[in-house]
Amino acid sequence: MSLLSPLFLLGGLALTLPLWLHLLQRENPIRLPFSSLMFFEKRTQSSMRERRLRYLLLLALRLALLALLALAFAKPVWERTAGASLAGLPRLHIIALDTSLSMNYGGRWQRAVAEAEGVVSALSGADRAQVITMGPSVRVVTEPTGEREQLRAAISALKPTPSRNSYGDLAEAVRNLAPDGSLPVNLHVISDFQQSAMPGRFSDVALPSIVTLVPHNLSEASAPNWAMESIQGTLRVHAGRQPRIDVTVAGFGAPKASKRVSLTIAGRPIASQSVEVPESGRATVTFERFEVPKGHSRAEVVLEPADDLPLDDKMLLALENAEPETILFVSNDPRKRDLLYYRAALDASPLALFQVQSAGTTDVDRFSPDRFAMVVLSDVPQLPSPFLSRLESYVKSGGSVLLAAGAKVSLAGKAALYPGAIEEVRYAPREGQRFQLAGAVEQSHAVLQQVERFRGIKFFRYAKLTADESDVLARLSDGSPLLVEQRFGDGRLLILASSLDNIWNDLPVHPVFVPFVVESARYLSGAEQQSRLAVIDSVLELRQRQAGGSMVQVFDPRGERILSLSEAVSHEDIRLGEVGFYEVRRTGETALVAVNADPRESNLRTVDAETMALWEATGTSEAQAAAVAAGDETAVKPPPVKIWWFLLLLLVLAALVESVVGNWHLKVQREV
Amino acid sequence: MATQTLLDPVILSRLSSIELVAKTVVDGFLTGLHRSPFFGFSLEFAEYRPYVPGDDPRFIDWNVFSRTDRTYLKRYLGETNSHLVILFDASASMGYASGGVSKIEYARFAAAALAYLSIRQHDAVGLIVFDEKVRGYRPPSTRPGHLQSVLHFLEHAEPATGTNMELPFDHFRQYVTRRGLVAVLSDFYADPETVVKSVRPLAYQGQDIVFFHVLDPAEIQPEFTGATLLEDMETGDQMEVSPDFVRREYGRKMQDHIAAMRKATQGIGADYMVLDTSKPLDLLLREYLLFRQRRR
Repeated sequence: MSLLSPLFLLGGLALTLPLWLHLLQRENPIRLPFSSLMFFEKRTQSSMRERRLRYLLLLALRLALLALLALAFAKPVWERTAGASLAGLPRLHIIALDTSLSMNYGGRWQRAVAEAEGVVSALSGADRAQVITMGPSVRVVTEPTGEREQLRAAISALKPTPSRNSYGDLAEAVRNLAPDGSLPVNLHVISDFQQSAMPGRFSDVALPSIVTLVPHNLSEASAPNWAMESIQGTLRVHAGRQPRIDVTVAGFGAPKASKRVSLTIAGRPIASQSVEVPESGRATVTFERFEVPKGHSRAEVVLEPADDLPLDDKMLLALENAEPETILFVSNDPRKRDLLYYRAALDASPLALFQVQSAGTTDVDRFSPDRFAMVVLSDVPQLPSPFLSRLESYVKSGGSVLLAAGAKVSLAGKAALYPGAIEEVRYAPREGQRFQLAGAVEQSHAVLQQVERFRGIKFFRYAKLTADESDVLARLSDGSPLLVEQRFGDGRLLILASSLDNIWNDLPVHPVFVPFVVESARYLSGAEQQSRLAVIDSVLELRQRQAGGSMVQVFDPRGERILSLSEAVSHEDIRLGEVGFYEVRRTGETALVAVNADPRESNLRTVDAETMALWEATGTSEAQAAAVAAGDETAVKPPPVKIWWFLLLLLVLAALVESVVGNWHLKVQREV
Repeated sequence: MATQTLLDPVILSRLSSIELVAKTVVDGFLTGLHRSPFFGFSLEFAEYRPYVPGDDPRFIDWNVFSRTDRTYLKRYLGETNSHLVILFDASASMGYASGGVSKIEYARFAAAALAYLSIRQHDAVGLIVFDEKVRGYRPPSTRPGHLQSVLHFLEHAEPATGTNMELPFDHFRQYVTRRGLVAVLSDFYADPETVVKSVRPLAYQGQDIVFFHVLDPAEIQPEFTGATLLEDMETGDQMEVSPDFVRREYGRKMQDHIAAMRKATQGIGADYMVLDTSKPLDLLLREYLLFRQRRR
C-alpha cells in the first residue's frame, strides 16, 4: 500500500488529545481518608482493572476515529500486482475518429474511414469496440459492442466537420470511458495528429495506465496548404467613412506561390488582386474604396486557385452600410470647449461610427432621447422637466448617459439625473502645481482598457461623489471617485467627477482622451457588443445590454430559427456551430455574424515523433500489451486501487460504536 | 421522647465533660426504664439491703418503711457485686467520622456510660486502652474517685496508631484473674478468627465477654459518586476505588464480616452487638443490662 498525500498523516498528532484526556481523567479522583482498606483489597483491584478496560475501549475507539481520518485524507492506494489480471481478458477498442477541418485535406477522410473499418474487422473473440469522434469536442457515437455491422454503419455515417479538435479533450473523455483497471483498452486514434490539436500542458493528454494508444497517422510526408489567415478592417461604413479590408494569406509547409484574392459582396464580384505568398510565409492584400450596399451585406474573400484543403481558402465577412449612430450632447453653454473636444475625439477614431448632435439646456426639450445611441450631459445641473422625464424613461428602458461634472454642477450641488449627492467640490489651483492624479483604475472594464490608467492627467477640480465601492471604476490619488458606473433601471449612468472642457483637468489634450471617449461611447451605446466576425464553435452572447425578457432570435446559415419562443426570451448565449452567416434579430435592430473555420486547422504540421512516443508512454505501450497477452504478468502495472472510501466506512462505523459506548458510560455515571 | 433526644450522640458531644455525658446517658436511660413497663428490661427482685447515706432514694421500699420504720433498698437481680473491665480500642481507625461524631467519641460515650452504670450498680470498673500496644490500664475498683480516674483516662484517649487485638487480652489475663464482665469496644478491622483466638483464653477463664462493634454508617455502606482515592488511616496505604464496586460489593463484604464476627464471638459464648454511631446510646445500655442480667 502507498499513500498519495502522506502529509495528511501529520494529522495523526491529534491522537495525543484523547490519550491526554483519558490520562488526565484518571489523575483527579476524590481523596478521602478511610478507616480501613480491608475490604478493598484484591476484589477492589479487579474492579479497577475492569473500569480501565471499559475506558480503554472508549479510548481505543477514539484513537481509531482520528487515525482513520488522518489515513483517509492521506489517500492510501493498494498497488496491485501487474499483468496477471489482464492476460486473457477481452479488450475494449475505442475507435477515436478525427472529424476536424484538416481531415478534409486530400484523401485523409477516406483513409480514416478505411482504417476504422479495419479495426472493426480485426476484432477477435469477445473483444468489443466503441466509436467516438473528435471535433468539435468528443462525441460518443456508439456504446461498446461486439456487433461489427453496427460499428461499420456508425462509421460510414460520419463526416468531417469544419471544427477543430483537441487531444486534451480526447484524453479526458478516455479517462471517463475506460473501465477502472478491470479491462484492457486499445485507443485507436485515427487522425492526422496536428500539432495545433495538442494542448498547452502535456499532462492534459495523459492516458490511464490500462489504455494502450494505437495511433493511425493519416498525415502525409508533405502537406502544403495555403489559407486565409485573418481579416481586419472597417466592417461598418457610412457616407462619411470608406471601407477598408486587409486580408492576410498564409502558407503552411508550402513553397512560394502566386495566389489570387477576390472579394465578393452579396455574390457580386467587387475586386480581385494577385499576391505572392513566400515559402511558408504570409502576405497581405488590401481592399478599399469599394461600394457597400446599404444595410447588411454578406461578403466573401476567396483564395484561388484552391488547394487540397479548400475549406480554409474562403473567409466570410458581415458588412454594414448604415448611418452613424448619433449621440446627443447636452451642455449648459454651447460656447464651451467640451463639445469641441468630444466631437474631435470621436472623429479621430477609425472604429467609432458616431456623429454628435449638440443641444443646450434651453432647447433640449425638442429632442427625444430614444432617437439617440446615448446621451452626454456635460456640466448640467438640471434639465427641463419634460425632457428629464423622457430621459429617465429612456435610461430605465435600457438607454445610457454619460454625466460630466463642471462649474454649474458644483454651484448647484447636484447634477441632472444623478441620484446621488455632490458632497463638495475639491479645488487645487494650477499655481503651485497642486493637483490630483488618477489612482486605482479598473483596467478590465471595457471603457478603461486603453486609457493607460490616466497616467499623467492632472485633475485640478473634481466633485466629491457618493458611490458604493462596487460602482467605482477609477479613483483619484486621494481616494475620491473619479469614474462611477451605476445602474438606472435597465440602463446605466457613467459619471465623470471632473469636466470635459480642459478647465478642471487637462484630460482632453492628452492622447488617452480619444480612447476614453470612443470606448465609453461604444460601451454605452452597445456598439461594442456586436461582433461581426466569429470562429466556428465560439459562443455568441445575446444579452449584454438587452434587458431580461426581451426577444432575441437567431437564424442559422440555412435560415432556420435556432431558438424556440421561450428560449428566445431567456437564452443568454448560443454556440455558433456552423460556418456561414448567422442573423441575430433584436428589438429594433438586426445584426449579421460571419462565422468562419478555425484558422488553427490550416496549419497541418504534425506532432513530432518524440511527443508521440511520450504520449504513448503515459498509457500501456503496444509492446507491453502484446507481452501481457502472451502471459507476461509483469509487463503492465494495473492502476492502484483507491481504498480511502473503505477507510471512511470504517470511520463511520467507529463513530457509531464510540457514541454507543460513550453513552453507556454516561448512563452508568448517572445511575451512581 | 426526651430520653432519646438526650441519648443522641450528637447532642451528647456538646456536653462539656464525659462525666456529665455518662450521668446524662445513664440517668436518662434509667428514668425511661423505670417509667416504661414495656421497655423490655425486667427488674427481678433479689433482696433488701439497709439504706446507707448516698444510696439512691428512688430505690427505697416505702412499704417496708411504713411497716417497720426502717429504710431498706430493694436490690434486683444483677445488682450483685461484680466487676466490669472495659477494653477500649484507641487505634487510628477509630478516629473515622463521616459526619456527626467520630467512632472514638461515640465509643468514649459508651464506655463512660458503661462505667457509670456499673458504679451505680456497685460493680467495680476497670479500663484497658489499647491500640497496637496497651496505652493504659486501670484495674477494677470501687474506691471513691476511681470512676473519675477512669473517665479522665477515657477522655484523653485519642486515636493514634494501628491495632493489635492480642495485646489487651494478654494484659487482661495477666492482671485480671477474678471472673467478671468484659466489654470490648472496637471497630474490629481484623480477621474474626484472630480476634476470637485472642479472646478465647478469657472465655476459658470464665469471663463474660460482650463485643461492641463500633461502626460509622459510612463504613457499613459507603456512598461515593465518583472515582475516589481512599487512604487507610492506620497504614497510610492508598487505593483508588470505583463507585460501581462500592455500591455492589463493599456493603456485602461488610455484612459478611459482621456475620462472621457474630458467629465467631457467639462460638465462644460471648455477646456481640453492632454500635452504629448515628444511633442513640440507649440500645447499648439496654443490651448491657440484659447481658449483665444473664450473667449473674
